Amino acid sequence: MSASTTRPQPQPPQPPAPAPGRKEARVAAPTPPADRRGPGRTRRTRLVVATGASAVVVVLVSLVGVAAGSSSLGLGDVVRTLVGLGTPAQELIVVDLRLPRVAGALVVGACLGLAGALTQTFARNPLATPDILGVTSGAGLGAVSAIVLAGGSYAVTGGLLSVGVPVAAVVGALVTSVVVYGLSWRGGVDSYRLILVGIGATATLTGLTTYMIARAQITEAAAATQWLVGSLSGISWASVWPALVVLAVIGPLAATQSSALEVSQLGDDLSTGLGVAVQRHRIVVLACAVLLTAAAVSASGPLEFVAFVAPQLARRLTGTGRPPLLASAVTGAFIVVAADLVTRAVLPSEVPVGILTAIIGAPYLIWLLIRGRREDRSA
Amino acid sequence: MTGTTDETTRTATAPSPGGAAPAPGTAGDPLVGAAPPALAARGVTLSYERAVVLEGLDLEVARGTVTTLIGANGSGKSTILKAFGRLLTPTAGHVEIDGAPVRSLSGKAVARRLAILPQKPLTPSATTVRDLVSRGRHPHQSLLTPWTAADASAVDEALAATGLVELAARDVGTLSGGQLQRAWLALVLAQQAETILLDEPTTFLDLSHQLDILRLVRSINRSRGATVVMVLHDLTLAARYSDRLVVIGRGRVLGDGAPWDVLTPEVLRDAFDLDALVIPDPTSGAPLVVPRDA
Repeated sequence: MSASTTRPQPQPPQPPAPAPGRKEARVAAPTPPADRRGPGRTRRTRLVVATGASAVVVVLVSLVGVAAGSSSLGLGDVVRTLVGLGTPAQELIVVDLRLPRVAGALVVGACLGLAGALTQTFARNPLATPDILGVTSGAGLGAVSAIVLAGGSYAVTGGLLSVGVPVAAVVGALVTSVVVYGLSWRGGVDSYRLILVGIGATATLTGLTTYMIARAQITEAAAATQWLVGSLSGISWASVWPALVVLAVIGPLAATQSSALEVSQLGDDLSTGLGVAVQRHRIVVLACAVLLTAAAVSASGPLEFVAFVAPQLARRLTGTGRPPLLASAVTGAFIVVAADLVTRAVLPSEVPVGILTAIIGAPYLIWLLIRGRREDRSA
Repeated sequence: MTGTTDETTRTATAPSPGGAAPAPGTAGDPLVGAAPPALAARGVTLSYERAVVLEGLDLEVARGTVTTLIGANGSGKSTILKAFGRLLTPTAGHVEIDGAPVRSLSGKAVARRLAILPQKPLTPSATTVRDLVSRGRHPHQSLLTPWTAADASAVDEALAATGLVELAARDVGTLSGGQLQRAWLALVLAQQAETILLDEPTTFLDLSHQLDILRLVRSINRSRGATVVMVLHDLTLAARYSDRLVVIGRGRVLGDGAPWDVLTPEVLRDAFDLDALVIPDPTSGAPLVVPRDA
């Protein structure tokens, strides 16, 4: 080795190496002059403004939603009644008849929007919604099983529809999510595998649900189908409260995961390097999303595409790189309240709200897929 | 003290392989004494699924040094780095940071001492350079103290050190490869960890940008006394910018020490199946590996 290491080197074409260790001349690309705005601040301002503006719109649409209906009330009447100054008749219409429905729409929409934002962010994929991950179809199978299997005996029907079906939906959602998570586990859960397993689970569960309906008595089959479409027409305070409680508990818990979600966009390795306990964070986020979805679905039945559209809408409104949590909840509430208003007040005969969200959501999905190729480099 | 050793290494034009100063903190060398090593692998066995990549590895990294792991593709050098960065849990043995077992510390506590830049971090969309670098502050934040003046100044400092001040408001999606790599380095710098792990930080960069990154790494090491452990493929660059080279191959350490001690034709043949000449680099005096035609 000494023979080869001592040979002097003439090397005439010596590269123009800059002095090592000195301050180097960097190949500085020209900065576009448009970059004078305060870094970070404009984006945050836009996030706050967009979220606030959306919230105001949601309140207005909700008031219109309460006002709209067969016996017409003015917006002024609605506000007066809400602060306790209405006539007993107005009180009955507003508080007992219309408010539960609008409040239900708000809560269900917020739950779905937030759940969608959580799953889309943690999977780094806009397609990863609770619908795709099998949670919704699990809830569907649970609810349909309860309707079909127990529905034959008339004795339980009343209690079943108000308590049994929502509980069965929640159980279905939870069991499915545990199974999907377990099947995706291989020394940790990778979001791509989770989506694939979720798609498989969704297909299986939908098949089972269809089978249940095909074998059911005609009345139960009709009830099950109606439930599966997703509707707010049967909603009452009794079904709004559980969902609201879930939202009130899970919302803040989800918010604590916000900065870890932000970091997790950089990949699992870098997240670990930055101190995020990736697997634990993932379980918390998924559990939040599953509970929110289960709460929403048990209150209204599955509303297709809300969890998918709301976070993407929020992301575009706020101009953020990932779906913002609070804004997604707000846009989710907006979508469901507005869709419900349209089905009641605009369309000639009342269409279940789930049909309308699907009609709006599906083309949006296609449009996003077509545009996504160009836009989402990181997805 | 570290300054002197690495000056010796860098300016040692004396070609005699034995002449170079021994690398600080060479494995098994009890000179380390009082202060625990910045990083240590103790009897570490690493495997993917069932396949064992490395077995019973003992390696200590002294504070304030630049150590580069070299080895053929698939030799396990990145695997060692992952184990140091707790991205991979050893199937046997353990990793210590400043003498404390990694597993005894919380994720954020480790992240405040140890930063890792993996090979392929994901570039987020609609994110400015400053926002990206700010994420490096995550281990210093909690629910009660979301963002402090210290965070802001750490980010400013990292941007300045990497020459990204002008680009701070740019979207990371619009950066060139070299600029993006500097942005990732800035993120890791903003983390203000004493020890920095870099997994092939120069891959996909042209030579001038590779030098750019490695000079930056060297200056971070000098100015902050940061301990750097990295994986590089270019042996000449590795020799030029490291105090110590560790050659990995066949599931174990094949060579360990100062660049002149390690980069011998024998080791190169052993680790890389490479027939090469090692000559002093006329510009830096570091060993220069010149492959021979068969």
